Amino acid sequence: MSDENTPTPAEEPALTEKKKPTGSRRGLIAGIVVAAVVVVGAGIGIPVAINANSGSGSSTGGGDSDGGDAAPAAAVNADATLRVGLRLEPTSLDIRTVSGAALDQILIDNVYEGLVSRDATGDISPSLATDWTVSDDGLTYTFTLAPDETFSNGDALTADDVVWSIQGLIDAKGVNSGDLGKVTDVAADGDTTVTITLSDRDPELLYSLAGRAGLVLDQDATNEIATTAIGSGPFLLDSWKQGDSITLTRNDDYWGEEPQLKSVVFSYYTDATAGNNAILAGDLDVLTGVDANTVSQFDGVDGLSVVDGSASDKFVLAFNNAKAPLNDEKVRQAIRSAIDHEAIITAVGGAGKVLGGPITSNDPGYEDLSGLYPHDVDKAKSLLADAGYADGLDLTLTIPSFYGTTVTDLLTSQLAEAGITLTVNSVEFSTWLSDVYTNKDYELSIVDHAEARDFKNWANPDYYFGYDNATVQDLYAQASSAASTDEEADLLQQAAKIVSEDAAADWLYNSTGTTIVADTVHDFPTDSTSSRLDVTGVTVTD
Amino acid sequence: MLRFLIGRLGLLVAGLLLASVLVFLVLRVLPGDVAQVIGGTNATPAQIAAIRESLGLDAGPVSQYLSWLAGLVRFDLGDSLITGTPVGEELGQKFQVTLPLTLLALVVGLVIALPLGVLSAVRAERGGGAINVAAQALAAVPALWAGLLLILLLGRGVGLVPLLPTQGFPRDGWADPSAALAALVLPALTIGVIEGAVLLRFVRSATLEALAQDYVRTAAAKGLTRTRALLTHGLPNVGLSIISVTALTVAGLITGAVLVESLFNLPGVGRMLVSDVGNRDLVKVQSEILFLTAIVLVIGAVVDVVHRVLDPRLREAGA
Repeated sequence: MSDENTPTPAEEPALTEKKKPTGSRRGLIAGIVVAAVVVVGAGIGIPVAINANSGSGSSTGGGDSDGGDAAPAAAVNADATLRVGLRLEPTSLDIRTVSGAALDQILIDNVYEGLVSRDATGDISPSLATDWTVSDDGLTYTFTLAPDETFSNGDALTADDVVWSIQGLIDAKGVNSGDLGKVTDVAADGDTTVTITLSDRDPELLYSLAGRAGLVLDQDATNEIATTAIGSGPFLLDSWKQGDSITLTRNDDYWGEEPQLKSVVFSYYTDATAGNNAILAGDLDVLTGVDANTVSQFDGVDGLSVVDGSASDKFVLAFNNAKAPLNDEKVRQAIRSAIDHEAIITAVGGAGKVLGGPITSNDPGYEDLSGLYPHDVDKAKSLLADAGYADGLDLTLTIPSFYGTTVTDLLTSQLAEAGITLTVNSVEFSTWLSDVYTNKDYELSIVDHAEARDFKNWANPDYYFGYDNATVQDLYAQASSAASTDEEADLLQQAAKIVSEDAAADWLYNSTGTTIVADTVHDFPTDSTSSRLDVTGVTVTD
Repeated sequence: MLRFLIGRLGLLVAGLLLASVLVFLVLRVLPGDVAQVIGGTNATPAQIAAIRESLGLDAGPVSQYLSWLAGLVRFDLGDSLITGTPVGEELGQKFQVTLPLTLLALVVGLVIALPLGVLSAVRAERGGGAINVAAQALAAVPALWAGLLLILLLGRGVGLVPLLPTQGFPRDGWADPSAALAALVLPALTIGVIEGAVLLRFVRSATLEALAQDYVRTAAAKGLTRTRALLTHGLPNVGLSIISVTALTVAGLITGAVLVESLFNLPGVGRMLVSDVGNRDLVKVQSEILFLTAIVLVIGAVVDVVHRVLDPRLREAGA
């Protein structure tokens, strides 16, 4: 992912403006020009940190990785400070109403805890609920809390807090409240038992509860949730220096096992080069979301290891399925055939896997669909000719500016070989949200769909993809109320294959995030680092 | 004089008003809004509408402008739409980085511009032209490139002579002044060198102008060396305009800071502004920009008044 910061030429006019001798009017004009230049300068070119789906990376297999060579030979420093470099800063810490993986990344598991937790592959583990049972009809979930759980302000965490949190999220239509669409009732029975009742089976319920939907907050807390946090987790939110860093400190009164870190400092580097420089200078212990094209900088650097992880990030080349010319299946198939995915992965520094369909290998329903549309320029040309575009086709691609130009440059030349002239329209992410996501005013678009298990968007004809297939919607509905996760996976697999066969989009690649870890750091999670970074098990040796 | 002061103050207020309208309007042209940013890529239209309503974004532009203006009159810059933090408070925090950065850059600029500018004019025949050409080239250098070059030369961990930190600002701010200052040296050099080159060319032309004055020639004829004559008689007369230009350079330094803070990962006003525009936190952005504009306008006004006080010619002409 190369979302390097590009310089903007917009500051130049200001430089020329104030060379002139003064005068009251000139001063006034200069002032206004500065205002205008700052607005425009900030408004165009400069990439901006936004929470959702931007380009930070993430990670592999087995979950945790040992940063260094051997097992910790040196003694673990239980009072260590861990310094982690991240790419995207949250805009707010309000985990109830503000979207964005950057909040989940640092707050879930570390500061806030849910009823249950999950790892990068979606395996569910106990958290606040030490145990749970599901009724035979799959409609009633009963969770048991540990008796001595507390919030960081000293308040006891009881079943009432759980009910208040989950019901409150539903009522307020908060972030991810849609995951709880089948919940009809949340009830407390005593201090340690919570029952959730559903209108219909939901094989994804535990997965959802391991995310934002299941977080438990203190109903009696009066803190400002947008800038502070009171949770039950092993770390306390110590401070947030906006535009710079977020510091967590160990919760010495944690109800569970205390972490072996005194504090964790998350520093934000919007500029990829800046992050690299910081870890090379020894200002960081870990750097996530590294641009794979720059890892050669770390060759032969003592004390630092480069680790690749798996991730749920899908770089989707979206087609506006609802609008000509992309409502024509042949055009969409032609584009998919014209793309050489291996070349794209090489261009992003090898930090990706070929992904032929909407579901990644970490998620239920995965199947290798990359053979459906192999790279075949001749086939692309003949499909275009069949569709009536033998003389060529002009298309516009809208992409948020922070993704850089590596992929779009390559895509432009690949599509040109098949006779498609691509115009790239690079916009700010907020503009993308407005034009593409909300108003669906686009032809092609590229965005990193970072969220795992997001197949639902293909079953929603109102989503910006504009993909409307009754069979897919039916299969998804069945999967959503499947009796078992195996059955769910099987149905999703069928649906995903149809989506890919229809060429509803092209999946450019599934990014594998690159993380740099100092050899003194152990058990740092390197999978899906952009969406969840549980540092409770991390240790640092001297 | 009083009439002049009142007139100048009126002009300042009018300028601020005009700037406020301009800033407000320009920002409203930007596509996208903060509710979509808060809602992200999984929010339904109903969720977005609920967020918009809770933030008061459904009010008309005129009433939004007036309520902003009403706050400004009471020196209340408003609250961030996303975090609810008062904008004034955050500006105060970020200026702890940006103000010293700007001042340091100004010092760097002056240290370069004044001696070299005068030198290149006095020695116009012997090497002065070369200085001028070098300054022209330097003034055209993009700040980002200059910054990267400085990092590669002097940056700790990556540079040839790894002397200085290149990333971030001490978390405890100015508690350790030497560490804070060290963090600002490279960014200040980046902006300062470029601004200094711009300033140098002005100092040079002002000095050339002074050298050509009759009274400098007369003083030289009365036995002063040409340099002496320039320093005691020539420069005081053109010095005022150099001060004016320097003051206006501050505007350039602020724009320079927007870029440089991102490169050096400094938590200053520039980086805050860029991320706020991206988030469409318009209430915050408009107050921030107006605040920066106000600084430039006030400096302009002060320079005018100082001119008036120091320069008898202006006083008489305006009387």
